[in-house]
Amino acid sequence: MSGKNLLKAIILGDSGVGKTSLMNQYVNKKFSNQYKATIGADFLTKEVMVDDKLITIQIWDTAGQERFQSLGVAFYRGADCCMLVYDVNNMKSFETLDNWRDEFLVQASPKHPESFPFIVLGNKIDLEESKRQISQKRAMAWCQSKGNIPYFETSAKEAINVEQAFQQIARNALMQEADVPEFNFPPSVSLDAEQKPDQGDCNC
Amino acid sequence: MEELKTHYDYIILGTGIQESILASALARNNKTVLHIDGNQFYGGNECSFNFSEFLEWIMNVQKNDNKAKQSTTTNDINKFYDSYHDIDIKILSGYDIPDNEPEITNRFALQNNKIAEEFLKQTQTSVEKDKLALLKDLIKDNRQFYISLLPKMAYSRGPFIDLLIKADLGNYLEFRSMEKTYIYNNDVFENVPCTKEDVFNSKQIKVIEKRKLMKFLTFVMNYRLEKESYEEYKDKPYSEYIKTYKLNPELQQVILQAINDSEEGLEDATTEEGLASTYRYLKSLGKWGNSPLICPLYGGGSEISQAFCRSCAVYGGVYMLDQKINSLEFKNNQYHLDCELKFTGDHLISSIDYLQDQSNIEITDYHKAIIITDKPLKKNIDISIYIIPPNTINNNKNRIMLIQQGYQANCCPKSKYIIYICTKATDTSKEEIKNVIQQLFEDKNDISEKNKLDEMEGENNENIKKDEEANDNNNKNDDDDDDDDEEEEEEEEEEEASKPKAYISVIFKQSIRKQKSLETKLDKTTLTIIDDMLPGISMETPVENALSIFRQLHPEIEEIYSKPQEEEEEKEEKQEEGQKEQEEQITNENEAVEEQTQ
Ligand SMILES: Cc1cc2nc3c(=O)[nH]c(=O)nc-3n(C[C@H](O)[C@H](O)[C@H](O)COP(=O)(O)OP(=O)(O)OC[C@H]3O[C@@H](n4cnc5c(N)ncnc54)[C@H](O)[C@@H]3O)c2cc1C
Ligand SMILES: Nc1nc2c(ncn2[C@@H]2O[C@H](COP(=O)(O)OP(=O)(O)O)[C@@H](O)[C@H]2O)c(=O)[nH]1
Ligand SMILES: [Mg+2]
Repeated sequence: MSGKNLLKAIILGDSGVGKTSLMNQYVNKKFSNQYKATIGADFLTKEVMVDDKLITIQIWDTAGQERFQSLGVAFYRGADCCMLVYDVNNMKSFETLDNWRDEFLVQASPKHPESFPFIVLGNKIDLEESKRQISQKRAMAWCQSKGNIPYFETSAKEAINVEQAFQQIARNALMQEADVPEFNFPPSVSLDAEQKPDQGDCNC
Repeated sequence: MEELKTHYDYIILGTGIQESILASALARNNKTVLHIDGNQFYGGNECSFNFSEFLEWIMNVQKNDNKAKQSTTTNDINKFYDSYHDIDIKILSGYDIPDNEPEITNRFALQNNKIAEEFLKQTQTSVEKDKLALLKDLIKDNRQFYISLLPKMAYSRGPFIDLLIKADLGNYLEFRSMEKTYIYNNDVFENVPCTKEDVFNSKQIKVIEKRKLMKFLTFVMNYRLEKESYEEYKDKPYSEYIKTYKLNPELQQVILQAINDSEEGLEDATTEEGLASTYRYLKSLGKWGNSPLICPLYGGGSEISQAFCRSCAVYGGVYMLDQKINSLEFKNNQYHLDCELKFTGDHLISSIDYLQDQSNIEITDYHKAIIITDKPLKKNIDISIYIIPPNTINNNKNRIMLIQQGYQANCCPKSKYIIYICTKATDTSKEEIKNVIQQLFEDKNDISEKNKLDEMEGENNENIKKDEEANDNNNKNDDDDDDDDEEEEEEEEEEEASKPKAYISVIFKQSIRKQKSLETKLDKTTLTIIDDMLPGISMETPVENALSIFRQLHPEIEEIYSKPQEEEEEKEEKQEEGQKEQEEQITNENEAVEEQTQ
């Protein structure tokens, strides 16, 4: 197990499948049907215990940039795990999972793509059964074909399996070997928020 | 799915750094923003490319150039490729062809190899085996390359860093400090002293010169308090004013050419401009490391754009890349945009790439080169700047600037370096750049030399890095008695054992465009055109430009990045929490939701 205690998780999937809602349910225990046009989510953090170890997960939202495939490479960089979400009532959102997984592998280019910790969530299972378009069986078969990706059926609205899914992804991410930097670099310069902008020069 | 708005306060065309800063600032102040780019990537003319994307860009520039010559027109209004011309490609010859190529099954790798082959077909007279082997080797690490069309760094104290901190974008970007600046003098690159320590320890500067230099630099640090002492020179050339400090010609060159962020040096600057420029440089010393500049990792420009664009998206901005723009019209006081979907906007902010009427545009051309090498220009130095003043290599007319970035800037695989060359275009500038490349780099793989190294190293024949370290140790043993700084000098005077190899070198001309006059700018109050960024090293001017445009658009907003909304929301939350148990609240909310949907 790696010594990491901060994990970057990103949530991918078509627009409208409930990515932001899942995040909010998990971190803030809140669900809202209303779309907030002004403030989206940047990233949310939550502390979790995984096998007696306290881990901070930092979950990055796509901020709507997924809608027209406009997530830049910077968004994917340094992800430790990736959650792929589709809506069980929407066939297209299931069919695009393949593209999202590919896109992730290309953009994030993880060192060990075959064992990279993915997880698949079939969301909105609270809606009536008659609306459902993708069976659990079919989804699980897809996950199996992609190297046994763990699969969860969730509802961000009713808080079903949300906690469990995040717990699982954190655990899997920790199992992943840490990439040890091979060179001793001068540290990179970090601009943290506490830093005050330099005051304009005096006397002018 | 959420209905997409079709009308916006602002439609922004182009995701260059300035447009992206504006997008972020507008969204943060509750303006609705639709941000569009005609390219697949972020950054506009400040973009950076992986190796395969770089090859594709070269091919596209060539195709576009040919098309322009035949004067065919397309109906896409994106003119991104129109600012790059006359591209020349040279690929190292004599590269080792592997005896048996490993079989490749990965479809991305296969695709990349195809691009390499296509590239040779289009740009070379024939597909030579050694060149294909070289390109395939480079493209293996495709995604470790971030090759920038407008490499930039930032002053550690200045408007750009201030803005990043205020906008709280520290989480999105990483920097490493630039290590050293060199200036070409007497046929070698000499280290430019960056700190007082450097000046004191320098062997190149005589004690008396040190005093004069210190006197001058100390004055510059306080120059705004001592206006009367340079009043009579204010509008005269800075070079004249510097002479009054009786500095030797080399130090005058350092001041005019090396320690500033101007595109062409301060040769033609007035004293007022020059002092401001030197001051900006000195002010940034001593914050992070020994140099005033920090280098954004992963190629810079497009990373910076992505950071600002993400912050815009988080505040509701809508992003659409890779858009073919069919038409853009102004009627009934609105902009009508027809791309993947149709939109309207009250205001339009546009980079020059999307400007249909280019008649009011003024162009300054620069000759540039991008070179990928196996070694740094100076041993063990990664992120660095090299200045060639006018008249120092084969009578070059204008100042030539080189920027080197390697693995430490996260824009290359290990033991590869990117070197960018830039100079203002003249009738001889292309030749001048060719001269510089010829002088500094090897264009052939010398096999006899490789064999020699192999013998020396025995088993470890692959690791170039090791060779260098071994050489280093030899040096240290030779001048055991010397102290540290002397050793450094020794190293500098030492002739490079072998020049870096230019695996691929690409020379091209880039047009930097700006609007001719202010009148046209104010033609329509709802239209803002963003001039191209100049190729000077720092990011200060474009940031100031973007911020001043914002102030013109919204003089009523005092603090661009104040956080009133978040605070309000927190307050709201606290009140709610005070009233109810959290769980209750959720069920209530859910019920309310259900009521609505029924
Ligand atoms: C060639 C040159 C000369 C400069 N001369 C002056 C000057 O005379 N006055 C001025 O106000 N600014 C001068 N500056 C600008 C100055 O170095 C920095 O802008 C400023 O000192 C940064 O403040 P600091 O407190 O962060 O770093 P500092 O504390 O100044 O440290 C910066 C570096 O200089 C070294 N240093 C500091 N003081 C001395 C000293 N007395 N002797 C040897 N090394 C020292 C430090 O060890 C460090 O490496 C000069 C800059 C350059 C490039
Ligand atoms: N019924 C139901 N609706 C959901 C669920 N998750 C999200 N939604 C709704 O689906 C819509 C889109 O959700 P959002 O989180 O914005 O999706 P995103 O675009 O993937 O981030 C919103 O109206 C949510 O309220 C769920 O589990 N069940
Ligand atoms: Mg969302």
